[in-house]
Amino acid sequence: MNKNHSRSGVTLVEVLIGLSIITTTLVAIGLAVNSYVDARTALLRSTKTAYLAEEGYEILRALRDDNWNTIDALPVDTVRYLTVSTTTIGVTNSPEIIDSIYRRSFIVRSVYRDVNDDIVSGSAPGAVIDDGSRKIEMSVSNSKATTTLEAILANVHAI
Amino acid sequence: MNSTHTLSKRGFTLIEMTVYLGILFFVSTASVALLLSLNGLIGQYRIETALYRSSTNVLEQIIVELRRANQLDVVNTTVNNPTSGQLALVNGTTTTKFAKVGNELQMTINGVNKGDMTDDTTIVTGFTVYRYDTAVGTLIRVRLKLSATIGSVTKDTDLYGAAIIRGAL
Repeated sequence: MNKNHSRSGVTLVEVLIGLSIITTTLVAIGLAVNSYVDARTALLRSTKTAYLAEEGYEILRALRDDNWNTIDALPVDTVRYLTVSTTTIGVTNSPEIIDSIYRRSFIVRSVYRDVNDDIVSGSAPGAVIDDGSRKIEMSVSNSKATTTLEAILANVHAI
Repeated sequence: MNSTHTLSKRGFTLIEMTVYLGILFFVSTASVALLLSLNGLIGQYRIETALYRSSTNVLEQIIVELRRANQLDVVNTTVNNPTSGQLALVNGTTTTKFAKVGNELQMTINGVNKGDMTDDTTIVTGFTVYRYDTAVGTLIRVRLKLSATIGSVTKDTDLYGAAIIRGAL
């Protein structure tokens, strides 16, 4: 009986089990490769987003270099946008959309310092607003994610 | 025993053969399709890696040189021109120039050509230099457009970067 059974070849059930194992493996490999490629596409997009944020901060620095009043006059805790042409840079109230995907905006915050001139939060004891510094929160968002860069701008003209 | 023996010699029925052939056909078709799509995905991955590497290499190099520079070499800089943009920076006695020549972005230091800055698979389709003068320095913005081709697949990307030349300050 046993001998005859072993000679009867592979049953349909065995074939189906084997096939399902192979299929599962192949699908898993396919999904893994797919997620690799997706991650790389997201990396390209987020790299551009990060460079745009850095560029935005550099533009504000240039405006500060030109005239501190440009930064000083901006209302704090209010969203503002950059306006960039081929020859001019400036600040505006209208949203900036770059290459129809990337949205760049920034918020100016007050900088508080304690008696030792260290930057502290506004609620810290002895915190006083430093009129010669502003914190910039530069945000760039694409359709998937937002990158925010924080930096301090100081009034170098006063030195 | 006898009947079992006869059964084992009987071979496969037409229905069994049809089912097995159907499965074989289905599995082989699916495997070939999967391999082809994997091949395409891996090609796309390689292209995006090449684009990422080339674009960040070039932009970082330009931003580093901008931050090191004392002044802009105005004569050898071409602004607002994506097809033949040039950026020349003076740092003491060293002049570093980035120029789009054909499909390459060439880096030249004191007149010595250091060659193409991108991978062999990547070409430079645009290099635009924007210049904004301020009271104490110059802000330079660049827009870099790259295109990579591997096999029959092509993909484009573009990046912006900016840095201030502080002059002699």
